Amino acid sequence: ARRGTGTEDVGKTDTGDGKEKYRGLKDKRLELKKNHQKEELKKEVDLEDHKLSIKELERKYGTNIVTGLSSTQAAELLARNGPNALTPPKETPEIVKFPQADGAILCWIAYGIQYFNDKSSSLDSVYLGCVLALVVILTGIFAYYQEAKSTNIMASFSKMIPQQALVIRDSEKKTVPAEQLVVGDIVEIKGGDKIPADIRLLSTQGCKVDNSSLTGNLTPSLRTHDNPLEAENPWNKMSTSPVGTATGMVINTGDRTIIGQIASLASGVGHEKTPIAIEIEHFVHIVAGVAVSIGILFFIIAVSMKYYVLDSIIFLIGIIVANVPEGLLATVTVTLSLTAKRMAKKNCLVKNLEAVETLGSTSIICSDKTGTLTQNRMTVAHLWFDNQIFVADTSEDHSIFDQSSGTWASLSKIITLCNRAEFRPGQESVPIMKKVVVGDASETALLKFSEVILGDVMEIRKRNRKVAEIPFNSTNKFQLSIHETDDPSDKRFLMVMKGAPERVLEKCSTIMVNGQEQPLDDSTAEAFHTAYMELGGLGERVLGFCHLYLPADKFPETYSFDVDTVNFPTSNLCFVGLLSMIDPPRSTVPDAVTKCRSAGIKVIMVTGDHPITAKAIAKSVGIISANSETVEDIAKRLNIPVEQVSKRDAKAAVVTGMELKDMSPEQLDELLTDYSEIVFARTSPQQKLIIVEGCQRQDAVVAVTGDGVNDSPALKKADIGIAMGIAGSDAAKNAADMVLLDDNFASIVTGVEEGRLIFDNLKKTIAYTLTKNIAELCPFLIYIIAGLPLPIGTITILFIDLGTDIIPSIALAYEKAESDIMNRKPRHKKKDRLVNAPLAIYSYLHIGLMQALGAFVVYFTVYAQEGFRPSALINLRVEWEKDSVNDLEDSYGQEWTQYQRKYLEWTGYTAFFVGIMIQQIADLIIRKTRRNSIFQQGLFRNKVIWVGIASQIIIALILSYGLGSVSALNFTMLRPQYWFVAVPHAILIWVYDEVRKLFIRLYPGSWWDKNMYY
Amino acid sequence: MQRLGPSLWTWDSSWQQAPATSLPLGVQKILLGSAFTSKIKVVLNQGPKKEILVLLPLGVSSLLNLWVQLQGCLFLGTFPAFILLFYLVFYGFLTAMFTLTMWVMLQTVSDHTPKYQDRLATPGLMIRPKTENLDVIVNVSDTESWDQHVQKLNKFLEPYNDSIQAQKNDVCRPGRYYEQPDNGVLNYPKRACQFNRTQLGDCSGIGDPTHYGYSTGQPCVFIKMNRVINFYAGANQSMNVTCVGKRDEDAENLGSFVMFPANGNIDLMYFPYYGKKFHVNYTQPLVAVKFLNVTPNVEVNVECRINAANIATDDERDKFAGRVAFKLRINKT
Repeated sequence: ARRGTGTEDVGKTDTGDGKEKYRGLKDKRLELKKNHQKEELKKEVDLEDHKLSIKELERKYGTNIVTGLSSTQAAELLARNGPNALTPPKETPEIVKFPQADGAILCWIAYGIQYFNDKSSSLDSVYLGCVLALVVILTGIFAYYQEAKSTNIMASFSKMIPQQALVIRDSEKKTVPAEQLVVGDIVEIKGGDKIPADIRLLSTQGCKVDNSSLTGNLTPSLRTHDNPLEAENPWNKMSTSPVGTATGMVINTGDRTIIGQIASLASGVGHEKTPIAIEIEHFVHIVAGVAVSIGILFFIIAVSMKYYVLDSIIFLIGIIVANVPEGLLATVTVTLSLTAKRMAKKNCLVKNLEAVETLGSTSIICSDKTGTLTQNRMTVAHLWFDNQIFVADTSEDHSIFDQSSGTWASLSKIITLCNRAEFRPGQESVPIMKKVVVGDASETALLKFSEVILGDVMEIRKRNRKVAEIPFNSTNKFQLSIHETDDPSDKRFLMVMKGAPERVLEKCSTIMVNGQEQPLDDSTAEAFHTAYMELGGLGERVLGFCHLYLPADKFPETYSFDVDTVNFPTSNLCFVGLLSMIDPPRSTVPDAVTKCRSAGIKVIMVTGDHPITAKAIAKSVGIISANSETVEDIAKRLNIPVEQVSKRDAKAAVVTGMELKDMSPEQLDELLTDYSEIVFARTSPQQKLIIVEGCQRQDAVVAVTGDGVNDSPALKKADIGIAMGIAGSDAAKNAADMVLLDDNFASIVTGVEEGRLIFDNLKKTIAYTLTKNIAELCPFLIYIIAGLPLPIGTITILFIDLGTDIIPSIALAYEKAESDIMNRKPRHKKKDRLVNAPLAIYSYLHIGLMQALGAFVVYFTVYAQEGFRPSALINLRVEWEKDSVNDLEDSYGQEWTQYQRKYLEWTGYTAFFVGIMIQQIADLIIRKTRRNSIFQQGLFRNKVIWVGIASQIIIALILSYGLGSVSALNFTMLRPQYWFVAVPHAILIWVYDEVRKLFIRLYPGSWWDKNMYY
Repeated sequence: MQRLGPSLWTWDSSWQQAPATSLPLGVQKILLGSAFTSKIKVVLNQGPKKEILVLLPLGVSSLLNLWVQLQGCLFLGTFPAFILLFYLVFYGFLTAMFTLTMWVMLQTVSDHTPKYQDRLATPGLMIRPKTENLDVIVNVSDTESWDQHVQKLNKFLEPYNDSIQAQKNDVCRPGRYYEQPDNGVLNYPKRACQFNRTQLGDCSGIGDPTHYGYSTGQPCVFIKMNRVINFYAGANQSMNVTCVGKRDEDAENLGSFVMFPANGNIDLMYFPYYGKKFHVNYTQPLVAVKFLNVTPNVEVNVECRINAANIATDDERDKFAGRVAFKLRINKT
């Protein structure tokens, strides 16, 4: 039924467009599905809840639209129908995923060759094939495990931001998790909420619904109703309503909703790749490309050197295995999830991993003011009525101001009535200021203020029953409601309005002074402006209040108000007073703003508030620094017209939405580049979007923070949208990439730091991983060219890549930031690549080569001390590898059987492996920093590094002494002294890198810096 | 100095007496000065805190200035030439370092005896003629097929000629090791015992028209034991080589054979071996096996092993430890 009606509904407002789209969508989903499923869907179309009257509905669902369901009923229904949540789509079976793992193809080719080769050669090749296959399976399992784990993390994230629904149960408004909604619940929806289930509207006020998730149409469809009883359009779960309020009855939950049904038809949707993943994949492709080209080059060389083709293919595989960092993908996955976890601990909930990295490269932050820079804990600070400013300090004795004035009586009534906020039930014993309120910040402040001064607000509201209401929205900038009066003799309706003072004043023709209405003349308007500027200048949010008693003759008791057509006057009201609230800046923000500055990040404030308010807050948090002036400030100081001020002198600018409206994109660009400190005030959601686009035109990576529904377009548009976890609406959270759980701007700075850190540390990890590739590759090249017995086997290489090197490279993710991390400019998306030329060159041609030499020393030592001096090894390969040669003479005239040589060769492998491992320890230590000395960084600050080093040594010990007898692994027990042969080279690596870093620090900008800093 | 320009080098007025220089390079800063107070101060600033404070005696200042100048030229120089120079120096240095460590390593290795013989506990056995797959295939009618074996054997046995042996080596007492200990002084070169070609009897190939029996289908195969330095084969007991067919049918097909020296004996006097450098004229003892009536046109798997007290011949992995397996095939039409 809701399916059918939902479609019809969209059809009604979108003139059939939505219907077609929906049909198209449905057809698409159904294309591959079996026919009977279609039938099932069609069957449901027969039910037509929207045709039923409310009474019939109540009967059908056993509910009551005023009192709602009882808790027991709800629990019963919940148990019967299950939670109101979508069943997640089925995961692709893991077996299917394994062959997708990288390198699989390589392995199967290798395996095939091995099998082909097996017929004539020893078992070694089979072992290699098996190990390669094992590697692929293991990486597959690991990748699957990580994916499952991160899916779990994401799932827990989405649990941590549960969707809430305001529901009437047991005659009380309750906030319950949307999952617990049951059929028959009466829910209230306000602007920005996601519709929690399929609901049938009971009443609505200026409510629009965005059915984009259903129709793909992004224009919210306006739903108008003359009579609440005729509100017959069921709304669909997942739709968002950006504006207005509505009440509705849940008619379907969970998988039985329209979205649920579509979702169950749609199989898993592919994940998008994060930029960091793209970067890494790109890098792996480059490495693989290099590996394959070196491999093929040497294949050709080998063939032309008259090696057997089959042998040459084995060389090729060896070279490729040596070059491909098998363990890197696993390492990176772990590193990223570690950072995501670490950020979650610091209250930055990352919705997609992309955001971690993007935040690090952010160059402009467009911050919302309320809630992010300030505490979002509005308290009423001042009142202005009877041409006087009163201080309202709700925390102390509240009788400071004169409450006897008639104006105050009217004002207090407006404050009380024109307010949608309510205390959450069940907090009678809680002090007023600490009570939890359902409502936004300023309404909460007003509610608490009036509760403190007037007593039971709910009782007053009950006595003045509300008959109609226009909720606040950013377009109107006012809120209006119409009430019956509590005076039984007064049959007039009282219309109360609050909103942006200038908007409210526009609608007024009279002003109340000392309880008497007076015409609004220039002098009173002047007084209003003075007071407004004074309060606003203090950085306070000022609200104007006015009212109008609607004449009883025109608006009889039975008059039906319609907020969509506005069949009542909204002008010529009586202005009553101003009230200002302060939202104090968060104590951590000024520091965070300074940090952003020094990190090269421009902080722009974008707010809907008055310019003066905005400027005051901007100054107090340091977005406009203490010594910078705007053009207006300079003009005022020098007492000259604004036009005469040189724009160059001003660092700061406060731009209002009005000014922005008249600006061309070029002018905006100019504005954004010319001023380092910018505040946008009185901006509309569209303008926020324009600002973000303007920033992006400057090639900046823009982060946008926001909490309201009006922010969500900008959040979507931004490179990284940051929503507030506490104050944020669902719409904002959905649009954002990251959620700040504590709503604190300072958390962004930690996020930026983490983002930069992860990038730096990934660089270090990759540099570390790449280095040994040369040490693994050189043996093959030397083997082919100089004919030495093979210094290191393919299986041994895999043990380095996937054994000893894994934990150390993960350990680098725990490395603390080098001191300058927040003092440098943000990374340029395209210029500062993860893997740049200096990194590759330094890793390959400097440290890598040193490592190779060091490992060769160990290798030669083992051979020389066992009888084969280096000179004897050259071009020994052919004889060495012949199975039939069992009396090969060494440098001392001794003769060796094939197995004895093979065993020595394995000892050589182990020696080379140990040589690389020892030098990788040095490599790990030098990779801790890229610029600073290790001693500046502290050798022992990162304990995990030492865990990594210990793991390296332990794994090597186990391989050599524990598994030395397993011939398939090609390890042997190594004499203890061989473990120390590479130590001088390891120390050399360390010293060399210290020298490199020293010169980088001494000569920034020199060719050394340019070529050696990665 | 000149090329660095005034923007990098400025006189600091507070160091009037002591010529001081300050290098405002980005965040970092170096202050160098040589004071008449016989000390110079090097202040390395990084960020807000001072990292290093070095006080050096006066004499170093000029050196340091030179170094700073040199560094300045090196590190602020133009790009490609310096890169080339750098890599030249760098790789030169690496080569030197590698050579040095290799040299140091080779100092640990003696010229005469290997440092370790971990893998050589059991000497292997090997046959002559040496063939690609350890198979001795003789087509009696086809001279070409065995001529290469004969050539190899002629060459192999040449040092065993009695004349050469008599000229170079000693006649030793059989049945005991011929030990020549150094006793503190290098006893060099060491003498070796004679192994005369004539000891190989019918397989000596001297004046042999049958070419070690290859032309008649009764080939000689020579068994030798691998040389291992300081290995006392047999542990003071006599040892000999025996050959059998690997499987029952091989034994049948193998037929009879004779061994030279008789019984396949290897005398203790040829041990120990002192290495190529010491034991210059060492002659390896041989055992020749002449197969008299191998079933023709059948591949026969022969295995010969040494029976010695201290040589294990049952190593699972090393198929040539103390033994040798080869294929024998006599093709007759």
